[in-house]
Amino acid sequence: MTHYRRSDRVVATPLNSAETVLLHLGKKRYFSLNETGTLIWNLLPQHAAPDGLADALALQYEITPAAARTEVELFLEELRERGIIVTSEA
Amino acid sequence: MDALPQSSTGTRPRPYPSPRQRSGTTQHVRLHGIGLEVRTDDAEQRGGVAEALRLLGFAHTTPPLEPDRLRLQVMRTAEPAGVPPGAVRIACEGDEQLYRVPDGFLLDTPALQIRFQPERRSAQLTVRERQDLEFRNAALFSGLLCAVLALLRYRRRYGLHAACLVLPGGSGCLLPAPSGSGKSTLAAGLAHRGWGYLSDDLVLLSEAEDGIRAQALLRHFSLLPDTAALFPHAERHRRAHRFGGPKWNVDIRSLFPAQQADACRPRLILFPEITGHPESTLTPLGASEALLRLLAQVNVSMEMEPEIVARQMALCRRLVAQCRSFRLSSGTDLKHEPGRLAELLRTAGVLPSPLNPSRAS
Repeated sequence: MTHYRRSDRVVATPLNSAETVLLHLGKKRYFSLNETGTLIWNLLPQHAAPDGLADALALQYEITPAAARTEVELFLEELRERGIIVTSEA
Repeated sequence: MDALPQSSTGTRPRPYPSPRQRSGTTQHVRLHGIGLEVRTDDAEQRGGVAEALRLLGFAHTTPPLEPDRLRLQVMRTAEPAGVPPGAVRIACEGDEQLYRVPDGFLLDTPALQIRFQPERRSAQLTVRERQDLEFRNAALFSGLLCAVLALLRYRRRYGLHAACLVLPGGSGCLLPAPSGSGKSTLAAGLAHRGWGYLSDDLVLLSEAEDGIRAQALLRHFSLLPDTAALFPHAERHRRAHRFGGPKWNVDIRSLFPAQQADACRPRLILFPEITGHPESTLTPLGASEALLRLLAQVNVSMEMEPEIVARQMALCRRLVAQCRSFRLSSGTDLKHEPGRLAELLRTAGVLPSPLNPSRAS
């Protein structure tokens, strides 16, 4: 199973409860996360696998686990492509 | 990360002129209460360093400085300085390389090297000797500025590429933007209208009890000749210096006396962008966009000490929270009469109107 964790080359600062700004030190690029992105970012240290993240997202937004899982996987893949998170096989 | 091959030039910079010709000197300077000891290799270089420090706003002080003073050594080298054995490249941008070395970091460019030693709060700037005097002077000034900004971070002062004015009510107005966005023109225009000013290009941000504070750096204004012509008597206050380019270096303190300020608490951020439109406009920005635009102008040594970068980001977040932020689409009206920005701000309700004091922000 693929596990995800925050890259240690990314610095984050919460703008408010619903937005977070990330800086990738190596790429010198800033990224802005919306409310859903901020929730997933904040949950990443506790939930390294998509299933746990999807469960938390489904609970928070009252959506089906399948829809949450799709959202989470798309978002994680986007973060991975940008080097914001890194993966490992457990 | 790329491990570097051992280099035949991996030695200390070769001094130039030879050690026997050198006459090292030490200058003690201070800016906003922060002491800096600057050592130079030779008398000729001492003059250039002293002039650069004066332009940045440092003032000479009588030794001794505090024991934990910041330290900067400036050297010249005739040969490529090389990279020491064991250096690991951690960032590369164009022809600039940043290495991690055993005692800190090394920034290497074709024109200069800066070795940072965080534990000692010190930096060594080595400028490569060139025939082209203008190139050499530019390298000295940019290297010195880079080193000083990095050192000031250890005193929790963070550079921001922005002009800074003081509103008639006393609070600050920042104009963060890349070069060529009209910062100096707008700053001079507002100073001409009687506003206070800190700088047209660079300020230091720091935390204070009442919020984020801006402090002055680079006290002279740099104006293109066409822009300078908008202000009566500007030519009379032009000051030559060895780092000058096409812009005029105007001693703004003598042009607009009694309006200079050392520090302010910003309450307004304008992000200027030049457009070809006849009229200028203001567009409110949300916190997220304002923060991203602000961070783009923050002096960040990305790979050095992420915990300092995190502090800078948190400081910028608090700055955005204490300010109203706008995009300023700067048209030809402000190009011809930059002081009209004051009217634009009043019309938009950003500044209190003299006819309607209840609209004060």
